[in-house]
Amino acid sequence: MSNTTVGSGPSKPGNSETAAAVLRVDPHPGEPGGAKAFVGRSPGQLAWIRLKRDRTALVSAIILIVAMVVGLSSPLIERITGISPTDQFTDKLTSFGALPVGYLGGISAEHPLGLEPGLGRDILMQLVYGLRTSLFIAFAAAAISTVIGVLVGVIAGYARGWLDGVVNWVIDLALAFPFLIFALAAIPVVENRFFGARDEIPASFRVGMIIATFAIFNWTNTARLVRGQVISLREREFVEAARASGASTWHILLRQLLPNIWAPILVTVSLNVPAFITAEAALAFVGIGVTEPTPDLGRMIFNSISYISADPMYTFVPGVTIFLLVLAFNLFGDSLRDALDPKSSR
Amino acid sequence: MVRFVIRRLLLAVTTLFAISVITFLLFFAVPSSPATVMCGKQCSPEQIAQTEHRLGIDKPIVEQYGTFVKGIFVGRVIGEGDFIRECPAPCLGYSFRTDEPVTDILGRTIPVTVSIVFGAAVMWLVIGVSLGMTSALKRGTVFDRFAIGVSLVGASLQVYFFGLVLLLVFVYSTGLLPTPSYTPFTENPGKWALGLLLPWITLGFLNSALYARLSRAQMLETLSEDYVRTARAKGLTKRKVYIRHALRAAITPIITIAGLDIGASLGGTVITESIFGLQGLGRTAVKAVGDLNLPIVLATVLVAAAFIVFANIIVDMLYAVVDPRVRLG
Amino acid sequence: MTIPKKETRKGTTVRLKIGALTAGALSVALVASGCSKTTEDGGSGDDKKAAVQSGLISYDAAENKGPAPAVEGGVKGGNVGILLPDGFEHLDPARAYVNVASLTGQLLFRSLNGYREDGKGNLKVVGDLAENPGTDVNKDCKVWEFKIRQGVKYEDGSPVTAADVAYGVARSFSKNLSEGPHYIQQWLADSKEYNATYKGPYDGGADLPPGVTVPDAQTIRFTFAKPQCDMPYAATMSTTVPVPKAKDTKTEYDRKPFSSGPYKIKSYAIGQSLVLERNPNWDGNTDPLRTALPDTFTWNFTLQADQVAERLVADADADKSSLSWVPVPAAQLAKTTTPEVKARVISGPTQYVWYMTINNNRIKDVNVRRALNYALDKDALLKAIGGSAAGTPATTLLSPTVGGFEKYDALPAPVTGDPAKVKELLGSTPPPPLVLAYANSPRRAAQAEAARKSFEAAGFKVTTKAIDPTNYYTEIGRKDNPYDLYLTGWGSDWPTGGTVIPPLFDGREIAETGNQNSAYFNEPSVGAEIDRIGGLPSEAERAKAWAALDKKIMTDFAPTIPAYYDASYTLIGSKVGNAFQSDAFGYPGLTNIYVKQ
Repeated sequence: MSNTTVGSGPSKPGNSETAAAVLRVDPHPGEPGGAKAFVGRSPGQLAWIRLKRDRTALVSAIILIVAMVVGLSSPLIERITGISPTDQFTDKLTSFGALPVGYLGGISAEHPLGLEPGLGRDILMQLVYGLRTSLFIAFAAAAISTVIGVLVGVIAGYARGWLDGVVNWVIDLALAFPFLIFALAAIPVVENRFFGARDEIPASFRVGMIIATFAIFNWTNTARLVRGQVISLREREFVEAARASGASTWHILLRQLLPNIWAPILVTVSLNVPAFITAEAALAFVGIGVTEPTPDLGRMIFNSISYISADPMYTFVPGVTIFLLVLAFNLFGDSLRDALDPKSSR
Repeated sequence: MVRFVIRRLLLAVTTLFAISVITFLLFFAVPSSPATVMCGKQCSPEQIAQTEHRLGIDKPIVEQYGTFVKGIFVGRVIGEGDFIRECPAPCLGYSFRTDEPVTDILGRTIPVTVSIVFGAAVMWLVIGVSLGMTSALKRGTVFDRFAIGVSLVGASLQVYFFGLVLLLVFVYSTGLLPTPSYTPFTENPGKWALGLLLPWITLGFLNSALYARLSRAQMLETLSEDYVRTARAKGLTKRKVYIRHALRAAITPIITIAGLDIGASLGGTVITESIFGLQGLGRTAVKAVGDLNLPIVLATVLVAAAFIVFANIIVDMLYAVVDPRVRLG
Repeated sequence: MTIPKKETRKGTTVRLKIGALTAGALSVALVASGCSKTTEDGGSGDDKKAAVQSGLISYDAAENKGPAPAVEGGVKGGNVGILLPDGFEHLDPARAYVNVASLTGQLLFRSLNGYREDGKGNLKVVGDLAENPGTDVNKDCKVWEFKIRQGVKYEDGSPVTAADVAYGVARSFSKNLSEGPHYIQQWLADSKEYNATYKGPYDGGADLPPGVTVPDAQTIRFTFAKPQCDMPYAATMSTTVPVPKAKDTKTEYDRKPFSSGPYKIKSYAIGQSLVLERNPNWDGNTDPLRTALPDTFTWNFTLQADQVAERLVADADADKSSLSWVPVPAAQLAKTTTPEVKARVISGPTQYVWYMTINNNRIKDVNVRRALNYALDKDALLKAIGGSAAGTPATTLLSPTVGGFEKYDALPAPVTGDPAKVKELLGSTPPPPLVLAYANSPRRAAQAEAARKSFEAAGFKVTTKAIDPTNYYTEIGRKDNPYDLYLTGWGSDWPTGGTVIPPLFDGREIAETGNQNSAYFNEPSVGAEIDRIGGLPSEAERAKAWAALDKKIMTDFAPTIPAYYDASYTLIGSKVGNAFQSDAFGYPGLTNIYVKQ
């Protein structure tokens, strides 16, 4: 589903070039520091130094940190403005058509980003709380699917044989099954099992279900990538040496292979997060996103589609927000990749 | 090679089977019944029971699944008494709501989705590859940085936002383009293309980033290969060298990834179709889930999965054919 | 190998700049398109024609005689386009129930009776196929006789006979063709389970249902066990459309029904279009209802609601003779306020009323129910779905489209609610915690949120519960459902109080599941009154009595909160003549429409 899930990134998984680049020990230890004393630096430290120097990385990191801070401090912002995201200012809507009165969707000193048509809620507060929801879902889903993907990928890549075959088949299955249909059907079923008819399903449960669905479908990309890396690494001398000296499989997996593949994994994670932000908004389109009254960027976009010509502000605010977030993540991910492996995209 | 293909086909079939089973289970895990969806004002328990019997969903799940599978391979008979209908293989059943044969519904909706995706694929390949290759050739110049920047912006936009903006600008405000619609290619190719132009541009621009990157990287790598230098040294013109050698080498991984992308896209175009108001496979599937219209859900899920699975196989085969270093199996 | 640092920095910051530029460009586009000021005074969606219904069954000879009255300014010819997203599920008269299918059916079929509307609020039931709306043979409403007109022909020239009408009724008993209305079937079988014994003319069943006789080729008789004085109304439904046995293609009939009306199907591509052309064998002299002026009708199923609105607002040449059967979405309403477009708006109340239904099984205290009536902000509830174009706040149980409608307000409050009165009514009783259930669609979710806010502002603690739309009415219809409040809509099947109050407020009908009386209101005095009204001799008396009962129920018991009267708001092209909203079906009817040349 190329609208919603992550592609495998410009470097094909298991690209020997990437693996080699990661494994390569910097041939000029200490050079980035200039003609100072020779200080041995690990690839990680070198990457960090390169990253720090990259202006784009800096700017995009700042954007992301600002977004996270805004999202996290949404209750504080609510305290300051005195407006809650669920307050409905229907008196500021026209009675015919329920559009916000005034310019650009009701922008005013009190409502710097205007009001929603229909319910008359403050868009700024919806945005701020919506950011919190989106970022939380994206990070949590990225973390979980990465962990699962790494585990499965490492095991499959190292084990070979039937285990590898089974894992491959499961990956194909997960890729072929339409993710949106599954979400549409499965989430309400699970919610019904856990909650009584009169119980209010807390927003956190729906958020948890969304994260779980993302994790179920997206570990496959990481798994493929890791599997490819492990396959190309397992024949290397240092692994053979470890095996020859009697190291257990676990030791090899954890102490030999894993530390050498963290770089592409990190890059994949940083590129996965924006895909989840987009995908979470996509869920709102088929009606299985975060439920009212929890503010949600995706639901705002979906509701705003028909208002595109009557009240464009309503669409633009969440749209531009998501665009900037995703752009910042992509730029940061790019810079991260450059820092970790300067040869890869030049 | 043949052994590889056979093995992959068998695996593909098992995958599709597994998907159909999962879909069946999901459907029956849902507490409501399609009969209640359809009954409107007259929902007495007896009416619901009658409707369920007519739809055949009062039988045990395993039996229903068995009939469904049998229908696909040898055809089956649906209904009873005076309302019996023959459904020849491959039988995908009839819509619960309108009694329309599902194969007819697929016949209406698959061309729409395929048209959207293939047109978009042509666009993103053309935009992406030409941008990428030209950037590689003009490496380090303003064009290079600009092109990569533009494609990155494209990768960061979303269909729902960018598509909406394009609609606003080109259709609603200025009227330069007609409202997107689907006219069958056989009926009027010009109208077909014009009606789908906006979705093609949207998807094309959004997906081109990956290919711009990829082709640029591949092109750069190939350009630094010895044999290219040799060709240049031998006196071949730039064009001949780049097109014959570099382009050809660079194209292969692009095509393989494009194949996977196309397969995945065919499997999911819900949002594009919703934004542009096109009745394709994705929207039909989502509506069918909402209606609990099992035959349509099954058919659309299987078709989407089949697209992805077979695209995978074809791509792997292509990769092996094109790059003899890759061994299959 | 070190990287030339300059290049790296420049290269990547260009991307940043492009990103910023894009965001800027988008913002400019936004400002350019959104820069006009939205002001309060736009248009009005209500009361364009708030004519109260007079719904009568007319035996007047002139009104029952064809041809239909000439349409002022009407000319023959042209094609009328109907823009209808999603199309029809069923055209088969035994399976059609939704208003768009009924409106189309008026061109394709003739039923025993029909609605005669003039666009000025006068709705009458007259005989369509039948010479008059039905003879009550024994004056006890149990035996109804209809005489089929002479000279009515199908699309192939063969005559319509009473046996065909009987067959049409018979096949509607089949469980395979069960999506249509079941009134006549239930009355014939004298049971809600209408096909328990007679199951239709298939699989060896008789061609005539029990209670239906065909004394001669032009006469059909219905004999009911109980008095059914509303039979003339029920006979307007498509159950009484004639279907010749030889032409019964069962499940295929949906796609190519056999026409008895002024038009027949030329082509039908599901999901694309439907084209109707003239039935050359239709004789206008036999038809008191239709003038059949246009040559063809074309339905377009491919557009979405907002595209329909955009096209009709634009009124391009191709759309000048089109109309739509989908309300203008809230977002496009602002475009319809210019005088040119406003003149092409068709709006008015439909037969639907929406109630914020209170579960009387759980909220037993009438004062709490009255308090809830004062608490609900009906204005916000409407604004959530587009404001005054979507409807008007309601105070009665019956819709203004129902015959004999009388406006009253038992619990007068400003439309935004009256929290002070709520406190006064509740007194020292602590407000109970409430659960508000809603069907999980974006519109209903927005309305639930608006309702929740207004109840909370009045002091109630409300939690909302989303229910899958496929399951909503089933869940609400369970007697022991655990919810306190839910938004329900009810449309009368024909414009009398008899199709609203008994199904919704007769407590004797309450069963374990499948309840339409989702307020679970059970008052013996009301039940007795319902019976009494059913026995009143004349339609006018019954209409008046239903209105009085409406007022009594709300004043004495307040079992529910009437929220709003549903309104329809559609557009027509500038060349469409004599289009008006049908009070029976809620959208412009096609029987007397024409294309201005």
